[in-house]
Amino acid sequence: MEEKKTAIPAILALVFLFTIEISFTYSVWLNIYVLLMVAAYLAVKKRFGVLVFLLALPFIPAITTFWSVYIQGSGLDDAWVLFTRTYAFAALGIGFMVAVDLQDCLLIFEQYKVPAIFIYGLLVVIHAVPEIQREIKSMHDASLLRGKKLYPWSPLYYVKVIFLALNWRERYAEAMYSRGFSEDQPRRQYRQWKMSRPAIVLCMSLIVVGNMIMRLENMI
Amino acid sequence: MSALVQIRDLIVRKNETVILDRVSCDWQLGDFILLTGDSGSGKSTLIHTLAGFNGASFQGDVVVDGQRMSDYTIPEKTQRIGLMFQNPGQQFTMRTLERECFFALENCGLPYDQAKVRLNQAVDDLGIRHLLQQDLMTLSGGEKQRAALAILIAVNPPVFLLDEPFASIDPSSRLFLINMLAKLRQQGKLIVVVDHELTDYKGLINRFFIMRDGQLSEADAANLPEKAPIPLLTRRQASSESAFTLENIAIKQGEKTLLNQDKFIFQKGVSTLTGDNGAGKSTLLKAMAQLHPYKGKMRFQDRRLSRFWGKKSLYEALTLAVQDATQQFVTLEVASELRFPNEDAGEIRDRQMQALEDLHISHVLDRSLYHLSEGQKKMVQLIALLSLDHQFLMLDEPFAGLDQKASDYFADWIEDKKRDTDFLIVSHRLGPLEGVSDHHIHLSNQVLKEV
Repeated sequence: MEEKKTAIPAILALVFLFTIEISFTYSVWLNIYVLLMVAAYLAVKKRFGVLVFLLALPFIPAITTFWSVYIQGSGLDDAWVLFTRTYAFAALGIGFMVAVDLQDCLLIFEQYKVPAIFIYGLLVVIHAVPEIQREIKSMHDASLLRGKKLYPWSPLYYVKVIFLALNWRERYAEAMYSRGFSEDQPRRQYRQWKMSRPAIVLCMSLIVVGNMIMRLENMI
Repeated sequence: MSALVQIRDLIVRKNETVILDRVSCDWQLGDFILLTGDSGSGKSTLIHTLAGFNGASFQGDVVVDGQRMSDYTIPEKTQRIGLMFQNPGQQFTMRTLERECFFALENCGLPYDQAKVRLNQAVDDLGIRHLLQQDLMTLSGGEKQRAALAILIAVNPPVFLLDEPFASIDPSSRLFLINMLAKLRQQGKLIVVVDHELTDYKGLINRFFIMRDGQLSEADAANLPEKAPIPLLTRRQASSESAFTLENIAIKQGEKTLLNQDKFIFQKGVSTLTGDNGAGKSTLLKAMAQLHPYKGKMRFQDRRLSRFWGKKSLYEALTLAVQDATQQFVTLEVASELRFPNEDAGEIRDRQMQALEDLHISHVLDRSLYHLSEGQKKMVQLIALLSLDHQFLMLDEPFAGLDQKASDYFADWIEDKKRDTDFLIVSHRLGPLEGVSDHHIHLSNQVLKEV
């Protein structure tokens, strides 16, 4: 048995809590705090491309929400809350994407008794994405050769993709069985995931600090 | 002693077509078996049915290690038979080799300490320790094959089945892996390899089987035939006008260079392109249809081609029938597929109906394309393309899945059309093209050569 420390459950709890909290509170400072927290994380990880993406992507939805609430709705204060909230949601999503390795995350779920067929089925599909993309491209090319361009909105595209999925379903099931995977057999698990203490402490302090900021804002 | 693998009167059907027709064989531990045959002859089906991971139904008996395969649980099967797919990329569940290997060993219930020892041994045998933590998706074809073999070695079953494992890898990796398999045989394993290419096996294998139309026959392993004789595919009075020109062409697939040539001219008439599996024939056709990146210049009737513009008008003059007919359908029913793209062209329609009748498939006209058998799909694809007027038509494996009569019918149609249309045809089956083909071009060692 091999033990491995992981921060993933702590990160999941952090993201989950802040998502709920910013959905139901009207704190501009909490939203900004969440955004800065994720931005700082990205900077530490040197993911500057993602950081630019984080600042650019939500701009249009944020500004339109701001504008409509400011003009039609309840005024400037609410408009700022919604503007920063849009950024905070985007930050939480992107932070989750960068900080959590999907494969590890699913394997941790397995330890918490999520059915193995669900976990490994998802993993197969996730890892097959590049192959699927290639196949869809060749489907697209083949139709072009007949003089028909397929667009993402043409129904035929989806008929073909469904047909493809049916074919591939069998192949991937066979692939998993060929590795000895079986739905109704107990599996051994070599890796025992243990929560990382420093990660728990850090996430808890981030949550506490966030709530203190919100309190302070209310007092002012 | 009874054989480790015993197959008795195995019959497999797919959509009413018989794929395997009463196949029987006995294979022992220590056998190194080479299995060959044309595409669609049933080699792959035999391997996958024997492994039994696809859950397909069959008639007959498959006994491994004294018990029917269907009586084993899946982890028990895995510990008796190791199966390697033609495309190992489609067999990986996890992201890295280490996790993938542990995934298999976890399923088999092996304790962690032993699993580690086995994995280390396997990666050292294959010299791929540096690949353990790499993303499997980023590996080259040869590396993927080695990784897949390492997993089989770690699981350590007595039987190894490899389904065309070398179709897309370079000759040196191929040689390395064949020698690795020979070593496994010396350790007392039973190895079965499906391969089109028969070189490099001499002296290493002890049994040689040929699959033909679903039936298995054994040939002498001591004198492996150097491939079936190629029929005459050239004609003396063939035209030497140029139809399509390549200049300073380089084509790659991943890191592997497939073609690198200063100049080559495809002449008018019917040209047949041959070459080993993985030599790059299909990729060359795609590149000529401007769908695969290449370096250099391509000219078609004085027109300089580009991958980035003018494709739509190009495809009215030149087009490609891809291997998998399903990919190419642009509608849902046979009738509307044949009507595409010109709704009312009486002459074309008559020719199509004639063809459906001649091939005895008039009854499929109002059916869905996706309910046809593989052979019928191919027929509809070919009818749709051959009934239109193109100046240059490329066909990738046009006879795959067709019986002799249908193949000859389309070969005759090609012969009829060649006054107005030039053809470039890639086919494993060359029989139907005898007497039709004017030029024979062979692709090997990254160069096209007129034969």
